[in-house]
Formats: sequence, C-alpha cells, structure tokens
Amino acid sequence: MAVRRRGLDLYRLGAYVLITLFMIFAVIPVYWMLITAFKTPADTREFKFLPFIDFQPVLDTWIDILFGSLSEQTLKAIRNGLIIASGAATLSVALGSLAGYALARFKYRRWKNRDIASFILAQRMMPPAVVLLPIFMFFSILKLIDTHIALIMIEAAVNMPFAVWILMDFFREVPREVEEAAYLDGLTIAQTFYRISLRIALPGIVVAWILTFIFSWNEFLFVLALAYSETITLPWLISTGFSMRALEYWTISVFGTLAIIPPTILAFLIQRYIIRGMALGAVK
Amino acid sequence: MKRVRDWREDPKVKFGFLAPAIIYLLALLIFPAAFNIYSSLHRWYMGGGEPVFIGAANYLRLFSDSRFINGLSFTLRFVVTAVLLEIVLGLLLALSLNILNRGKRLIMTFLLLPLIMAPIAVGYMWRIIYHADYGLVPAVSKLFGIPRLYVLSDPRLSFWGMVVIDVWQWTPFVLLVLYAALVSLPRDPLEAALVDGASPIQRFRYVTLPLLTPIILIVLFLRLVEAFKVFDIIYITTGGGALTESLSLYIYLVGLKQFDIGYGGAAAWIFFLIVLMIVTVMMIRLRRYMGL
Repeated sequence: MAVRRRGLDLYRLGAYVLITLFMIFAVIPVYWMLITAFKTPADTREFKFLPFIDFQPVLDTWIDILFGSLSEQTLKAIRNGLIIASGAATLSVALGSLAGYALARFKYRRWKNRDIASFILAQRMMPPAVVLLPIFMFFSILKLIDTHIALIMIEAAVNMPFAVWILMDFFREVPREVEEAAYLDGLTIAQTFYRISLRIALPGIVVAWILTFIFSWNEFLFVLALAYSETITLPWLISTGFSMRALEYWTISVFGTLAIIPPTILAFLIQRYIIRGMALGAVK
Repeated sequence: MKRVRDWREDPKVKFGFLAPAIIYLLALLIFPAAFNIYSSLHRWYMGGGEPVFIGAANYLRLFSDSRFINGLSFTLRFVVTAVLLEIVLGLLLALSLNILNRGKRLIMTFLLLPLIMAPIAVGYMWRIIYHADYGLVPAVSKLFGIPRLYVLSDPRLSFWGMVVIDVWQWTPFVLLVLYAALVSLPRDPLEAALVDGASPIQRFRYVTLPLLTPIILIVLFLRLVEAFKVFDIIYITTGGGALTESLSLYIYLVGLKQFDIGYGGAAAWIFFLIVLMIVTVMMIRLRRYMGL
C-alpha cells in the first residue's frame, strides 16, 4: 500500500457507509428470492425475513418442481439449457479461436487487423432485436423453429465476437518462438496451431467457453421467439410462470434459483478471469 | 527448406483462419440485419401472403406513431440515466473499496453474482420486490408514512423502477472493472502528489482520474451498447406497460405478436442505424485503449 497519513478518517468513514449501503442493496433482492423459494405460498405474502425464526422453511415447491407435477417441464428446460449453451459455447469458441488466432498472429494489409477486429466486435454490440424478425423468418423457412440447432446457431453468432476478442487477447501472450520451433521441427501449420498454440492458450479457451456458456444459458429473447415447447429453457419458464397458473412466486423463485446454479459453479472456476473477459481484456 | 515467414504470410492460411468466423457472422447477423431494409419497404404480414412494395410508407408511419416515438425516447433516456448512474456509483464504490482494510475479497466475490445472473431472473426478483400487495417497496414506503409506491403501474415511477434494476445488475461490473484498474495504476504519480501535500480530493482530480479516464470510457462504451438492448427486465416486470416499452420490446411485439414484419423491419432498421452510429464513433475513438 502507498504511504498513507492518518487523519483521513472522514473519507474512510464515508467509504464504509457507501459500501455497506450498496451491499445491503445488492444482497436484499437475491436473499428475498432465495427465501421465497423455501416459503409456503401463504408465507410468501407476509414480510417474513428470517428462516426458522419468522417462518418455517419448506421444500414443498422444490419437490413439486423436481419430482412432482412440474418435473417433466423443469428437467426438459434444464436439459435444453445445457444442450443449447454448451453447443453454442463450443461452436463460438471453435470459430472464435481460429479468428482470434488469426488476428493475434497474422498481419492483414488490405483490411487492417484492427479494422477486422473492430468489425467483429461491433457485431456483438448490435441489439439482438435488430435481427430478431429476419432470423425468425429464415428459421421458419428452414423448418428449424423449436429446434436446438436453431438456438445453438443464433446464440453462437451473437456470442462469437466476444469469444474472438477474448481469445485474441490470450493468443497474443503465446510466444512466437515456441510456434516457430515447432513448425521448423516438422509440424504442419494446423498441427502447430492445435498442438502448440491452442494448448498454451488453453486458459483463454476455457474462459471464453465458460463465459459464452453463461451468456447463452441466460439468453431470453431468442428463446422466447424460437422455442415453443421442445426447446424451452429456464428463462422461458421463469417468464411464463406468470401466466401458467396464477402468480406463483414460490415456484418462480425455485426456477430463478435453479437458473443461477450452473453459472455460479462455472464462474467460480474462472473467478479471476471473469472481469478481464467481460471487460474484453481492457483490464488484466 | 521450410521457412517461418512463409506460412504467416501465406494468403491461403491467413484467409482460412479468419474466413469461417467472418462468413458465419455475415450469414447470421449482417445479412439478417440488412434484410430489414427489404421487409421495411413492403406491406408484409407473417402468414398473410406475398409482400407488397409500398416504398417508404412504413417509415412515414413510424414517425407519426407515438408508441414508436415513446419507445425511442424511453430507450435513450434509460440508456443515459442508467449508464451514468452506474459509472458514477461504480467509480465512488471502487474508490471506497480501495481504502477498505478488509472484507474486500468477500465483497468482490459476492458482486460477481449479478453479472452472471440471467437478466430475466433479475427482473423477476425485482418484480416481487415492487409487487403492489406483497412487495418490499410498497411496504417500506408505507412504513415511512408516504403513500404506497406502485412502481410497476405508475408511469411516474416505472422509468426509475427499470433504471434501478439495471443499476442493481451492472454497477458491480463497473465497480469491479474500475477497481481492477485502480489497483494496477502506477504508484509513482500518486506518491509524488502525496509528497507535494496534495489533498485527497486534489489527488483524485489531478492524478487518479486522468489515469483512469481511458478505462472509464471503455466501461462507459460497453455499458452503453448493452443498455440499448434492454428487453428482459421490462418484458417480465411491466411487459411494456406504464410507458416502459423499449425499442427491443417494441420490435418484438410488432413483429412477432402483431405479425407486422414490414413495419417491425422499419423499426429494427432505424434502431440498427442509431446503434451503428454510436458504436462507430465510439469504437474509432476508443479502440486504441482496447489493445488495437
């Protein structure tokens, strides 16, 4: 830490107050949803904050959702989410690693590297609603509505620029000399790429895969447009919970909690890379 | 004899690595976006027969459509308000976190949660909090003796209701990025200022802030383009009621609920041009800070 004088206590006090207030603001909604998932329907209408003291937590809704009348729907949504998110993540990392490598390694003269990279990143910035109607029509014509492949394709497209950018950042750190040595030792270009460069940039591949998985798992607009019954995901269930039966907050709270679990586990694995990835390498 | 230079300069290799990604993006994003031009020039209902060419009629209709104008105005106000709040609050919090002695790691780990939560779940969470009968906000407002606040149905409050949700989810992102930047700032200028007897405010104003500016601009840019996409939190809370219909929601409703492909296409094309303009201007100015 830098040299610090005493007597800055007013600033310190202000900092503590600000952080505390913000943390309360940050925690309450999540806490409220979590406890709602363990309340009886009657308790959800009361201001009961503390489990075991204010109210008796119950697992009724969880049992209903995972094993009871709603289980078929729920398990289908979870399975679809896993298929779509891992498919989209794999596809965008596959294409993204090639392009990311190309932009980190090769020199394009006609269109400069930075223009190509900007062009790719700009695709990520386009609001999905812009392509929503044409995409819906194209997939209708191709008879791909309510299929996994349609959702995988579009989610891979909207997330790939992101993967390219992250991977470009990681490939830049692969030492050229190692690649050159491998190439001179008789490996082909493709072998050099996937045996040497890809291995060295593996953390980048993992980070890009996990982040695109999380984005696709959470994605809602395209699922809303392209899924009817076979390819619904948890966000879709959360959104229709309001019309399925009456307003069942306890049910949706369980869906909401379930939806957080896979991203949380995955994010935990790459904790120190999340900010670097989401800020597109602007901070290391 | 193999030479290293060969393959890095081989046009076939250079093209082969880059082409799949570019072609994929052209097919799934650029072409669909441009297709809006075609649909926007036609009267075209989904499942309602062949498109009929009507020139610019859809565009003329858009600019006299108060719902579209409101969507445009809501989106712009939302983006500006939410992003400014997130940047200011995120910066203050990052500075505060920096002078905290302990608990940093715990706070930073918890604050990752909003970033990886599905926006639809975040919106749902806030829907319970704003709920007119069982929500926390009306209950707390009653506690303080002010009339119950019906955030989701009162047009005077609904805008701020949406802003608060976005601020809740994305201030932590701004905070974490700025904090990461803050701790990696060079030490020397700050210590020199300290030796010269600069006050904490002066040190911030003349040393820290200028050093942080590039990263603040990048975060601003990233948040700006994301905020333009706002859809999920509105869809699940108000459904576009109480004057909170964003452009994304408008396009979805016109195109996929009213089946008006031509008209929705015109709205989408206008939306595209607005975002394209902002992205182009900001990208050209900021990309040198982004490692390009």
